[in-house]
Amino acid sequence: MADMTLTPKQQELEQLAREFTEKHIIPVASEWDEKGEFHQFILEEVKKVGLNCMAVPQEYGGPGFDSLSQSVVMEQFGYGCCGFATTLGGNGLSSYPLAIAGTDEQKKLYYGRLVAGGSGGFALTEPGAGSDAGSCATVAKLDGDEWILNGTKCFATTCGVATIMIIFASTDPSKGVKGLSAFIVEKERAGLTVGATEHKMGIRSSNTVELLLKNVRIPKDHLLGKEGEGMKIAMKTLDMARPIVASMAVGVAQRALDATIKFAKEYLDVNGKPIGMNQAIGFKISDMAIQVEAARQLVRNALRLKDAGVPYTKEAAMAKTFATDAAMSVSADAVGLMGHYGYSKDSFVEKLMRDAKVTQIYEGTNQVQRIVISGILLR
Amino acid sequence: MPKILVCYKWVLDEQDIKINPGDLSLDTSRAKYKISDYDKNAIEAATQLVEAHEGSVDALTFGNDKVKQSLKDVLSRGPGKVQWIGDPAFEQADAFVTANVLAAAIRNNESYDLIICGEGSADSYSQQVAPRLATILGIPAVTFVQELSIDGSRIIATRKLGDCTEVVEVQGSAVISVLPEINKPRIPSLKQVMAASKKPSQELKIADLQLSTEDLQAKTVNLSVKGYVMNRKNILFKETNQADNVAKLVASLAQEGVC
Amino acid sequence: MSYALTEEQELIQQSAREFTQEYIEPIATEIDNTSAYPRAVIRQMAEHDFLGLYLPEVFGGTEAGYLSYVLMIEEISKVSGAVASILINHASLAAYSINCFGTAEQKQAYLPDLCSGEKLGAFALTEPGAAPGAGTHKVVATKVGDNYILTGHKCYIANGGVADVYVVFALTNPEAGAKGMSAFIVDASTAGLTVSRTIGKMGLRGCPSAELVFENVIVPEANLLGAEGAGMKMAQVAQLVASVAEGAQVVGIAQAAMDDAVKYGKQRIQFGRPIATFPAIQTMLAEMATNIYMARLAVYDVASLIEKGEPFAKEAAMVKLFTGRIGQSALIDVIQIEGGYGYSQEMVASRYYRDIKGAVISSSSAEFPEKVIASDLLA
Repeated sequence: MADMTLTPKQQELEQLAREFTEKHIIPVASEWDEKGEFHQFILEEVKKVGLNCMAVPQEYGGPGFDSLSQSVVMEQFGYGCCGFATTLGGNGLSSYPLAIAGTDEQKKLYYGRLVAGGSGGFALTEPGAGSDAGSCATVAKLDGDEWILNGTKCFATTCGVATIMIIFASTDPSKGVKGLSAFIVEKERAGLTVGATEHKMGIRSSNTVELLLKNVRIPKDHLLGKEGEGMKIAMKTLDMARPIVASMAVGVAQRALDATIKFAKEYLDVNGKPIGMNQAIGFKISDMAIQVEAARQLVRNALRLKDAGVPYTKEAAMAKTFATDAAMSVSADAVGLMGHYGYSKDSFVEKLMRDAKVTQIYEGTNQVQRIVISGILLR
Repeated sequence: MPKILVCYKWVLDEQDIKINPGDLSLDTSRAKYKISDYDKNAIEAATQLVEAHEGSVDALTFGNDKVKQSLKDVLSRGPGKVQWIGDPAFEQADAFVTANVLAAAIRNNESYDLIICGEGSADSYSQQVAPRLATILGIPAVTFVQELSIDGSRIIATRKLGDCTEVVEVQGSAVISVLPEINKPRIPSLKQVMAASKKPSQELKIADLQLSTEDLQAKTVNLSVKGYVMNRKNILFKETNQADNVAKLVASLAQEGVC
Repeated sequence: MSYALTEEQELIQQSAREFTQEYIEPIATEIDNTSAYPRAVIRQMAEHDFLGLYLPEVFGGTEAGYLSYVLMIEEISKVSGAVASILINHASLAAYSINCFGTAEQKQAYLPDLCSGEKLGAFALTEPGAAPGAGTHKVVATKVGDNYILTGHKCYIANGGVADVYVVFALTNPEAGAKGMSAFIVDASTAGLTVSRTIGKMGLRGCPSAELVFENVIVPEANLLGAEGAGMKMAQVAQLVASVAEGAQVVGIAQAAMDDAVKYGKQRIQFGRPIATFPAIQTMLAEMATNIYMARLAVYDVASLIEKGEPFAKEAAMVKLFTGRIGQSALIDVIQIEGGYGYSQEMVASRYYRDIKGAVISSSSAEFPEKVIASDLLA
């Protein structure tokens, strides 16, 4: 079922990613979900196949994939495990700020670490700043040649293991949102400690931590862009990341659909017939498939716009909303259709239902997405 | 074989009461009623005594027309029968009136060995009904009781006072008011709930109790009941020097009279 | 027509509420964390007459009516879906079957212990081919002299391993499919009946789910429940009766979850105000409140039909259909409202999310609710 609108190169990449997923992710996903520990080994494996730093521009050592290609790969990773995919997508998320506002030196520094096989982290959220990201209490003060950062971040993806991260702090609290700035912080900076690990209902093998900053000193040139540009950079970053998150969600939805189809063909009702022969079940599965396909095409459409260099914010927000909602409803339907088996740990679909829920929340809740969309439609 | 009476009050459940932000008046429109909390301790105390010594527990209540809803509730908790007075006079009644009404109802019955009440009601908490009742009936009152036992015709009670406990003994009948420390009321089993409807309940009319108009005239008048709301000051101390913030906080608290 | 509960029903509800607050609420999270069967709490429930609440007084039940029982299930579910499941399987499936279809001797032999809680019941319905690859699960019953010999496997049996009495569905005539199914009352202690494994689930942990192995289990013909071949019909009736209790379970869990979301929404400040003041959040809350209210009315009404001995199959199927839908959507939205915090294992909302799906799962071999309703409409 190859998507004929993909170029041969894109189809090749899809195949590469699919094989990687089948070999390295699918066999172990349940185990790592149960453990809830970080899957360090996958970073080495993904580097071996050249998929670890897809968002890094070619001139800085990246593989030179267009956005649609990256999405196709991420969909495969999402198919394997949303937790693993979140980690693998995190490199992209955390490197977008460099593409938006980084100087050449900054890019060399940041991208360099990713290309070498390290992971990047992204720390925006705080206990008091969730959807209201501008309500930031972490502060950065200039002291001669250095910035000093103080504060606490939470729900920071991969920051417990990342070698380098983007941290948002306020350089002028009196200006509120307009006082937010973005900084590059290497893991080894003194005063930066990883706090509590968040124990989550799903994407359990993805590293989500509290980050504690106590007089963390970084060179002046680690400010990304200008003071006060932090919010703009954050919003643009999330913009760019949206279709990627959406791609992962499509993968999750597809996995749930495939599991349901297999079950419907194999599970015999009490009269010995596969339950898929029941029209009501067949129709439910068709509805699920419609959602998955629509989600996929919405995502790919947004990325085609992006690769063509035209505005795609609205389409990206639509894709994120639709695809994550689809992942949620398809995975929940899968559990329902697969009954006691689907609800038990014998099946991996219950994990899909737990994983899918977070995709509706992170990288801008689906409510925030609607604010973005309505803002564009009604201005 | 003690014959015990428990007096209880049917009160609004404070959890359901909303406070109107403007004038702090109470909105009780969605409030359900319940047996006053410490009265449940009284009922439990009576039930436990009768389980240990055999005997009987009757229940008695004076309330408004809603008090009829309380009967099965109280009967599911141990008492073998309940007498109730539901009358508009209750709306203005204070402890003086309540004690008069209860005493009049009690006089209609054979005498009780022991009358148990909660130390105070969950709504007004005047703590007066038990001692008033005892005075009218001409028997001793023992208040603040956290432990209670019977030995033949002796009642032995431990009272919890400010900084010590006091053990007292009474010969013959008494009115006891109990603190919540005395026991943990058991949750009625569902069979007990179902059995409650088979137990007798008897309505008493105020008109039949030979009370004078004066007996039913409250000595205190309730002028107003206002809710208590915690106000957030929402003041931020944002000096760059944390020590300055602390100093300002302390000064602010001192101004409020907190420290 | 305004619905009013009787005084007894309100008192039973009140007592159940007090009981759950006192005995179940303090350990509900621990039960979920450990998946340990809460033996002590079940014992206490038995002492409070919870286990035989609607069963006949002549057998030691409280005969309080099915609506009282459903009210109790709702209260328990607000605090622990797992404990509610244990009770539903015991009372609405196992005990109900014996009470409804048993001979006088069978009722006398089993109901008193089930009512008093001395024995716990479970319902072992055939799930042929339930877990693909796990082998066939048909339990076959062969008549030999005055006994039946049962051989085969059952999977995903709730209360499996802790039950003392199983109502087991086995094929007395394998060639006849559904029409060849019969029901038996089997003591757990019977030789040849073993638990091969307990199975983990997404939620409702603490209500055990087990795989049972029948190896030449001898069941006297006196323990044949109902007529040979009438098994599936009896199973369907029992499952419909249980659907109403499961509906109450959904309503209880959803109500508790919504209350939690309301509390969260009032105190979570973003953009300078509690998020509950945003129309987006209010819409979600209004939607779920409406659905829960409607579901509750339906649950109580059908419970009332059962209590009065009136036909209830179509209405019970409607309850199953409706509560399944609204329960799931309510919890998806509750976690959405609570965001990252709701997604954390530390918060109770994630348990409600995992639990509610289990409450709406029905045995896959049962007739779907839509089919039951349509059959009734078209009769």
